[in-house]
Amino acid sequence: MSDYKLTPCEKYQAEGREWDRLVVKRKDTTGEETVIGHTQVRKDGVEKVTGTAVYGADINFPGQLYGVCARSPHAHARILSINTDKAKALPGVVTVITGADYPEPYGQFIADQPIIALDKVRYQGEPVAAIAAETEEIARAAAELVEVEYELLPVVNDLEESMKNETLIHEDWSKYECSSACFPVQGTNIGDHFHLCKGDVEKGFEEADLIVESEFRCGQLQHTLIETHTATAAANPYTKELQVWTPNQSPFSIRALMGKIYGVSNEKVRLTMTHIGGGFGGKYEAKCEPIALALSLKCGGRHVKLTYDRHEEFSATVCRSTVQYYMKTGVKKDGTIVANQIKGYWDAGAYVTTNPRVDYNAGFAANGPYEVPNVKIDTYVYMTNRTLGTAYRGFGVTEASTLHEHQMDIIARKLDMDPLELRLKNCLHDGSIGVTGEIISTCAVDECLRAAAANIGWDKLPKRWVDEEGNLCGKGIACFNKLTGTPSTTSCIVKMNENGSIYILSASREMGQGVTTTMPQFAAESLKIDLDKVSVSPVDTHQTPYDKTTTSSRSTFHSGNAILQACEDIKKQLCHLAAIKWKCADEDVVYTAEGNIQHKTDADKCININNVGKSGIMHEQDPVIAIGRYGTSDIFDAPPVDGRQSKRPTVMWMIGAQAAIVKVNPVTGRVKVTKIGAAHDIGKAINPTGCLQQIEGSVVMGLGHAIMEEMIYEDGNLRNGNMVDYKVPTFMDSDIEIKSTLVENGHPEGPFGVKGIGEPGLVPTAACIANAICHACNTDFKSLPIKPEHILFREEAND
Amino acid sequence: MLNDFELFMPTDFNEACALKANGAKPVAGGTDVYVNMHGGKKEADQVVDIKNLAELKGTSYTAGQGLVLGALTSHRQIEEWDVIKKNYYAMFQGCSQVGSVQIRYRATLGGNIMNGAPSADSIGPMLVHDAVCVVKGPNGERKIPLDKFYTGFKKFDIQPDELLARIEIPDTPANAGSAYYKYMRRGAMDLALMGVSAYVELDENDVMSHVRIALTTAGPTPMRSYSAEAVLEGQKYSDEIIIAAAEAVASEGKPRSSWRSSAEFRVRLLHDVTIMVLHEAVKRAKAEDKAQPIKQVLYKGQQGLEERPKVQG
Amino acid sequence: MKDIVVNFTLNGRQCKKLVPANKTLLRFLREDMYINSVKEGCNEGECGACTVLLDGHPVNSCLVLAAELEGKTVLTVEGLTDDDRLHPIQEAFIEAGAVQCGYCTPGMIMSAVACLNLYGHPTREQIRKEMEGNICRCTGYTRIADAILLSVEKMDAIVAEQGADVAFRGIDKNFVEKWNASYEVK
Repeated sequence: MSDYKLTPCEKYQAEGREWDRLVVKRKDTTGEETVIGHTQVRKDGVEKVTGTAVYGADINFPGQLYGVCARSPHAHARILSINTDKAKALPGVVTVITGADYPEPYGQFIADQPIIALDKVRYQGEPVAAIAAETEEIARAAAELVEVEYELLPVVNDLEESMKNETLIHEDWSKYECSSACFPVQGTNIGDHFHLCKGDVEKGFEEADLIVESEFRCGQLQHTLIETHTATAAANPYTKELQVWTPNQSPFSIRALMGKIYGVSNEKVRLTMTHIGGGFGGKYEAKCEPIALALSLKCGGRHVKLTYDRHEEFSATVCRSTVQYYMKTGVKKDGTIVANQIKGYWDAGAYVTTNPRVDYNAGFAANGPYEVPNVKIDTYVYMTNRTLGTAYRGFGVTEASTLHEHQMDIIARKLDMDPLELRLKNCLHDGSIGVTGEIISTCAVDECLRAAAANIGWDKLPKRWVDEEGNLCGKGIACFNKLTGTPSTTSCIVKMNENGSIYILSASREMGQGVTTTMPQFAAESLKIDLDKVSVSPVDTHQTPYDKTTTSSRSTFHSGNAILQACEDIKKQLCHLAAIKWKCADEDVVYTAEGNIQHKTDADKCININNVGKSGIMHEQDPVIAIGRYGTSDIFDAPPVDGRQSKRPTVMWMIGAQAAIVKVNPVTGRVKVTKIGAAHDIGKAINPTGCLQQIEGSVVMGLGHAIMEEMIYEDGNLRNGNMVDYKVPTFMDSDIEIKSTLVENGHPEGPFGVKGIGEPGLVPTAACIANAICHACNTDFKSLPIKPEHILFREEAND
Repeated sequence: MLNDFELFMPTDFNEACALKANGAKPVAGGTDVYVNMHGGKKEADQVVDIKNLAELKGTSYTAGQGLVLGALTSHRQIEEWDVIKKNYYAMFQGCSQVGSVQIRYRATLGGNIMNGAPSADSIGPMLVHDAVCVVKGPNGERKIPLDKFYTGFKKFDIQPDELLARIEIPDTPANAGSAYYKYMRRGAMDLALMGVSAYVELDENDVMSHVRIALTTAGPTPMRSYSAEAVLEGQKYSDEIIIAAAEAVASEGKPRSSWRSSAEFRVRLLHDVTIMVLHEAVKRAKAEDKAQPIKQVLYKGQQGLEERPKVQG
Repeated sequence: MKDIVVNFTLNGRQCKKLVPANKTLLRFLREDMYINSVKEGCNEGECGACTVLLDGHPVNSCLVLAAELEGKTVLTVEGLTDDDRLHPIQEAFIEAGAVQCGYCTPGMIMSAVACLNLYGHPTREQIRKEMEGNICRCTGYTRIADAILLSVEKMDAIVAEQGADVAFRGIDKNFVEKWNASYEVK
């Protein structure tokens, strides 16, 4: 590896080549950067192509035990008794635990979930016991021997059943510890309620020339991470020091949860992070971690490894909730929207988990990136006997986008307007009043819509047409705005090694999105040090400083700011060390934009950052180490619960649009997406290929959401919990021409102007594909996925 | 790990038969049996790996006679053989769409037959190509036409001490064409939601003979549609006669409603896909180069077509 | 037999091991041979993360018994690197941006090697078909196809520079010839 260098291949993104994929629209940025804004080879590439990257299940310890859960076959039942005697008697079994061993329930928003079911089970696959044994086979055999006597309860299979509130999943919300960000309704299946009110919708509807009402449902989806959930734990039962090796997205929030469950203060809980084989929100929740710890505590602190198989992954981890939305819009003849009223109902599954946050984020996005004077939004999280909903790339905003963009197309049709024109007429601009009363800034919806449309040649295409093979063809467009979780904080340590190289300690988790490449880019750009000299240390809560979580597309924005701050301190420290060597005052030394530590008046006294290791200035001097911090509490105007009006509900709005061309075979009902035009306001493309990777991967994921993927339940039984029957797109489904525009509309508070792009690529994809299918078939499809049978048995729109 | 079993890897055919008669589960590619075992299903205490049996090997074609395919012939061998594309195109279409490349290297034709899944992709094409199963035991060989080999859901005309040794498929004349369509919900790695295979010979006056039609995932086993064949046999090729055959198929197929799809949807697909497949088989019968794909177009009588919206622009 | 002795070649090394009859090649490679590149994704042949080349053919190692290894050759990404230099396919995966979370990557690369044995200069359409058994949730696949095309260019350039007899690990110039020998035409 020493004598040659990997270089990014620009061939497949250059204009005018076979695949004409990338357009960068530079706006507010200087364009003088040498590292940032240029595609860099990912730092984790070599270990990933050689098989040396260590993922969750690659962690092994000599003498480790293997954990397995015994799971409920029933979706809703009272546990009358559990007998573990036979399981315990199996040779090789070390311990069997039940809910009674660790009855403390947990939850980020409301502590409603036991680590192992206590008095009743609420979804099929819920753990009822856990076993640690010498081999996985023995543990699985023991799980079969756990005897549970159940009293079956009526199954709440879906939203409609839940909303009757006849069978309650949680009988008494009041007995759970509940955070101030969760609003369950006692005596109902409602686990959370979100309410937003701007202006007066009733007055708005009176002013309208046309009222349009529609509904839309997004089906239940699974993240389908190729790496299933896994954790290996060692928990000392005497000192209560807990350690877990895990591919989790959110080490510090898991640390706090584990501390709480086991009554241990945070500093005794150590989360050591492995590579993540796919996150997308699915590895945000604590799944294997608490159970592996519990088993280890009962085994004298031996290492216990707990890995879910694919069937457990489907039935007993997490998913994206179903949502049923209703929308009512008042619009003037010229297309001006005067009022929007939205109601939404999430099927959150058996426990609340992160659904209040999904509800919250989607709530702020449900109106779309449009300036509407009167808005009322009420959404509810309902509990059912299904697997647990949680964060899923976009935190509910993808679903919200399908709703408002479906509605926009219906309005356009009724007004006989071009869908793009209607959107441009109503979209937010700098200075617009947003849905919370905020004065909008750094907002490029208009530019993204136009660019996305141009990328598929929107203007030259009719709304629907039939191609020479007889396929029904259509175009569709969708846009969105998504906030990032605010307030939140991130910190980092940047330390210089004695040879002049740099380590960054940051808990921003690499899960494929490329943050371990962008973080060094910030340091390299700031210090003008060679990128090769900067690396990111593995994440370990005992060593890495606090970062709230790697979700919500926040990492590059937040960690970038922290790193830049630390680098300024590094510059000062280096100037100080040079001043000692040169026997001059600190003020006589400056750090230049070229990366030189320079004496102000003596031009010969100059050390380039890349030579600082050899320069001797660090020899037996104070080590060079700096801290960077970035938090957003100061700018945050907490939106009050009575209507969520706020001057600054988020530090950063993410904006983007995508347009699609589809062709539908009228005989088979199969849909082919031929082209996607994407345009995202990324603020600043730190690693341009990295941005494209996020968008392109999202498009194929969104294709699955639009036409293939759904979790199918019958009476609480998951029918398609495997990778053949739950259909994620394959290589054979990937033949989509994607052209992306990266709009660089710099964010004043973002490092180098950056905004997030981890989730946004996915947010408008299913929406624009659905709209294109609706146009092609002249039908208002009211739910996702749109499957061939829906197409063949459609009812065409006739207004 | 798979559930505990004792493994035998005999090279002697009679030993393998004896093991099977004794309850051992025969395994060739393992792409069904080991999947079931991973799912927690205990198949058997004993497994007999039959991959080393010479009697089950060999993949040959003799002009004028046809194919002799050892039961161990892999789907990948069928997929990558120019002889198949030229003379048995439906078999290429069926075998090249099973699972994935990885699966097709391992999965055998014998295994696809003996697993007995109604959705098996190689079976419909072999049915329309008039395949004959040769089963062999200690008492010698028996030949059974493939369409008589299935006696019910996952049931076969085979004795406990017999193994499926090979499949024999007659050669195809120059005026023959075949086709298979597999309906999938995604582009690969999928089971057939339904499928239709067809074989037809066409004389110089476009009169059809030796017509054979088979349906996949339309009943408890892959099945021939004799009534539809009768509609076409001896008739001149036309849109109308093909539509009549499709109607016969739609009334003969007995798909079930399940969470995978409604029976209504499957019947509609059976109808429309039969039209597509029959036209394709006829076009191939007429084609100079039979090894080429035939472009899918829409045909008269397909239900989706009639509902095509008139509004454009 | 419950335990079976097998002699086989793994990444160019001769090996002899005693294996339980019911142990899959996937588990055997990970647990007994410390080959960590081979990943378990589904254990049912539906994701391709455990793909290895068995006698040059891509297989799901979760559906192969280790007991079948006698006399066979197994290749994983660990066997592609030549001392300290990456294989052109590995380089291409990095340079074309075909790697994100990386969990599917080793299996993808092994399927790519198999694809290049069948088609020396594959089209995008052929690549999609040959790679259909490997699921990726991050990339959207197109950059993986890019990487395979780039690797062909890289290998062509090396051949142009060093001559036609230069060998690349895993690439068998006689693959198609050997394959065709499995048929008998009279």
